[in-house]
Amino acid sequence: MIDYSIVNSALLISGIGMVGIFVFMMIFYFVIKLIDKFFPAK
Amino acid sequence: MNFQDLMPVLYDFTWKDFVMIAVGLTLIFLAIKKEYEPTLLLPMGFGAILVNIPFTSALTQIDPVTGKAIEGALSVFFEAGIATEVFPLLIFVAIGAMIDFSPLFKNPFLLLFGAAAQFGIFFTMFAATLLGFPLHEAASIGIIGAADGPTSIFVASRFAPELLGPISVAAYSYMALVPIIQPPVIKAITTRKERLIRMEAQKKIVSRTALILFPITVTIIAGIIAPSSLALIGFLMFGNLIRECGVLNKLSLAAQNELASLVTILLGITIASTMTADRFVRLDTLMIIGLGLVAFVFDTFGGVMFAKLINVFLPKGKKINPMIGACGISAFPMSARVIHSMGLKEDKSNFLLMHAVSTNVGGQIGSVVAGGLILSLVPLFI
Repeated sequence: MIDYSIVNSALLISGIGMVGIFVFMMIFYFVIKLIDKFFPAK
Repeated sequence: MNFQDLMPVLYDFTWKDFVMIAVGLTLIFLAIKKEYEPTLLLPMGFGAILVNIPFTSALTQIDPVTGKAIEGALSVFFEAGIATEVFPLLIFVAIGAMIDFSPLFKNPFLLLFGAAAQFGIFFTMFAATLLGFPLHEAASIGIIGAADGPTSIFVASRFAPELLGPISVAAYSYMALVPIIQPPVIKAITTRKERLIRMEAQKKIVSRTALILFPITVTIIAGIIAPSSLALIGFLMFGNLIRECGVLNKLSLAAQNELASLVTILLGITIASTMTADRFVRLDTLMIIGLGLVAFVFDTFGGVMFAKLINVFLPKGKKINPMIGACGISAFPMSARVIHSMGLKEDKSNFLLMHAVSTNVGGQIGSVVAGGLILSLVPLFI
């Protein structure tokens, strides 16, 4: 017996989760760019 | 006094105990003969034998005479190290000390593949709910797709400690099977022309200050956005800071070697305490093992398809070899090696290793972030 409220929750978590990971990675991307800009290797 | 009183163990064995002892022997065989993640599978295999002999003193037993609980060592280790999440977190310190983030500074864009290749986690979680698993168990099963043993253990110990055994076995077995799982999936969804795409080599020196600031900044940002993920990401970054600071070389080496070895021994054999016949010999276990494979397949699918999508917008000559996307999982450096050798098979002069390593490092961060997000999101829906 499938509980569709759980399935819906899983789908919602999946959507938010995937977007969340991309947001985190984009932030880390800009962190790396900024750190690299202000503290370049000499 | 009859024979049964002298040898009660012989009379208490069930067929399920024998199945579990066979599972333990199989894990030991895979660890020694095939060298599939031996550091974890061997302790787990031996532990599976240890806890499936009736009346084992390795687990807490009730004294038939006094009725009092006699503490077993593995039960004590479980309460102290897994239930409190201390063992996986210590492993994260060790892993952090082993990771070199400098390849990411050479091409930070590849971080995004570390996000795309976590697709298998969420797809599998969704599939598990369709098979009837409750949300907290489905999330613990999905996290097998992180391709990261400690993250899987950390999440499962929080949400579904009763499934820790099969989830750990699946996570570590499939990590060892990355060279078998990834190539057919990649070949099925890419053309030869795509697999022949060359990527420019990135030559860049990264400053020590940048490598020191990175783990500190990531920890602060992760803490502000998702505080539930802070233990996971923070311990990883703490280990990395020890490595990069340059003044704690002795501690860095200790974290990479002694700490990693000691905690791995304890972690493996302690997880085995959950591999008792009554918990493991169930249809659920087979479903979890199957869903673990689904998670790895869809991780690869997600990473490769994201690369193909990005290529639509990139000009000719700047396109990404879509095989690189498959390295966005945490199995380091196994996945990078697999993709590099696949590239060489197609074209002997196409060296993808540096890009593959950068993506693979991104996958290590991505898997921990995914674990942190699962820990933050799932309680909101239960």
